[in-house]
Amino acid sequence: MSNLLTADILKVLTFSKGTNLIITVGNSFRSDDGVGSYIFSCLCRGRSPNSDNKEDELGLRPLFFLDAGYTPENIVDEAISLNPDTVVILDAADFGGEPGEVRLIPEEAIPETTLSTHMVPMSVVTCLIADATGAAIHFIGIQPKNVAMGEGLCEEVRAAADAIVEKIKVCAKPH
Amino acid sequence: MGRNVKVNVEYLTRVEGHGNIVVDVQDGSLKECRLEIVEAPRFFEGMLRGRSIFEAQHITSRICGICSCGHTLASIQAAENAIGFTPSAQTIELRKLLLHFETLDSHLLHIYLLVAPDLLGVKSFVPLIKTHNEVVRRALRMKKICNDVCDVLVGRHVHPISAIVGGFTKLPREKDLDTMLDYLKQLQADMDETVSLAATLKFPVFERETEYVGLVNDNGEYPFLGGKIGSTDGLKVECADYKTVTNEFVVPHSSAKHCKASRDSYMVGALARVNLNYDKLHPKAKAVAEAVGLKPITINPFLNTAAQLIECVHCLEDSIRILEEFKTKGVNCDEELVVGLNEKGTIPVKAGRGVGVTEVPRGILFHDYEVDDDGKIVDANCIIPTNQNVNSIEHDMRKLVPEILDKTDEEITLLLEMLVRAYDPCISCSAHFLNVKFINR
Repeated sequence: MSNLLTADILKVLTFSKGTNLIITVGNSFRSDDGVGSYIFSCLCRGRSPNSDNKEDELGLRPLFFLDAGYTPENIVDEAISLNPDTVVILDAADFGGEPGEVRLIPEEAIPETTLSTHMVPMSVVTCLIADATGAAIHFIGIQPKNVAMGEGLCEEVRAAADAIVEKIKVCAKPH
Repeated sequence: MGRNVKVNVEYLTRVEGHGNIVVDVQDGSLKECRLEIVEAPRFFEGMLRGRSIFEAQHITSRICGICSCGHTLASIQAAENAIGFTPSAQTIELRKLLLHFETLDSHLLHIYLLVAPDLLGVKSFVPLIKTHNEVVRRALRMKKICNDVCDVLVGRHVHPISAIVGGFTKLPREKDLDTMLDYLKQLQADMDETVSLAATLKFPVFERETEYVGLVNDNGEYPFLGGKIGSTDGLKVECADYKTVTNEFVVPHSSAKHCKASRDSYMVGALARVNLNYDKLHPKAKAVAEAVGLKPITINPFLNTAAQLIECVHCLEDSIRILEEFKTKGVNCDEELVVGLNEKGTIPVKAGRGVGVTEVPRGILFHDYEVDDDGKIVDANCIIPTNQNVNSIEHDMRKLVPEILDKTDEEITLLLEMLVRAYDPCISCSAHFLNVKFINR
């Protein structure tokens, strides 16, 4: 696990005191772009995400999950209502790395893509949540191999996603 | 000596797709003025050839992520007309409801995300998070509701699943009607705020006489689906004869074909619809039109955004009306169709040609299919609204530039960008393959 995740990623995924929120993003019909949704489904397996989001059953560190799919702008109000202290966004990100490589993306590099009626940039979402809650926002990007139409993740991206899930589950367990 | 102005906006922002504005004024005289559409063609008509009419709507929906419902319904209508199938009154009402949801979604996003920054004096939507935080959150809240009602009605908030040739594979139950009504009533409060905000916005003053084209009918209903093609110059044409209106032609600087009808150019979209069908607007929408000072025939293209606001109110109120009527009379769920490619032959198929016409957020949309005896598409033609508007935008630019030469280069550039944005162009959708005939091959 740890050799796939660098020290800065492991530090973020250890989570701070207070309320933590994980937002997963991506389109599961676009191959590796679905890594966010894959992580969400692993984290929620066997549990109802809604009930988890209402209760602090995770003990020392309240940890909430939201899957934003391909419309992250639609979860802004819900994310704000959770009043998180820390938000971790997990998404596929093409930063020119090796497939499955995981990097912490600096705020200034969060894509402020051209705004159109078809797309609201991620920066709008992060700005709105940070502005309303004062939360620290961390964007963790996973380098995809393939984002063409299709389902399922490549081996490298799945391994990275599993490592992230494992790390989050360790932190989420009551100590 | 007159002024020299060169405007070269590459990759116009806050529109969908890639377009460039090129203007050259020498000694006060306009030498060049172009809206270059530089997107590659997408070959959707080619993709349709050989495919079943029962799957065509899932393909054409992908032409546009924001008008996916409109393309779906134009596709279904073309297919049904080709095989001579008449949908039930219930199906038609639900299709109108779907178009309302899509129009609301698209218009609200255009007003808030793309136009408001210009009128509030900032460069993009992002700075508004600091200065107009509640406005931004309201915009996203309204967008989410539009997505959610679409999801309830057709299974997804884009690229509908349940709308197919013949009707719907899943019809809304009573609880679905309640859910949609509840969402829309939440939207009403935010719509009032939207109208109040819009009333404070100042649109640029500019006028050009042109022709406005859209659906018209004689049944008293503001038409998004069904009717004839009408224009403010008096055209009234059967939908099947749409080519006598569109008269597409090719220009060297655009991968989108241009169109013209009675004049050099024509405009489609919200302003065209309001100009053609003002009397049929919902009373609340008409009150908004009066509040923003828009009455037919308005010839300022910048006011297309105001027309979109008027249509938002109309679509919201008419959606509530449709849903309340269904609550009263009930939905006949016996009309539900089985998912598939008509394997059981529920819908009789025969060869023919059909034209589907819908009013989508950016204007009138045409799908034209020729179908064989097995229901396979032999030939297809799609003409989308931005296709029809690019020529009008260029003509507006040619009139506008000489009128604003007293402004700075930056002000001229901004006004031209605002003009293009006012049309809410969907450039990727407009890029169209040119017909190539191979001789002796």
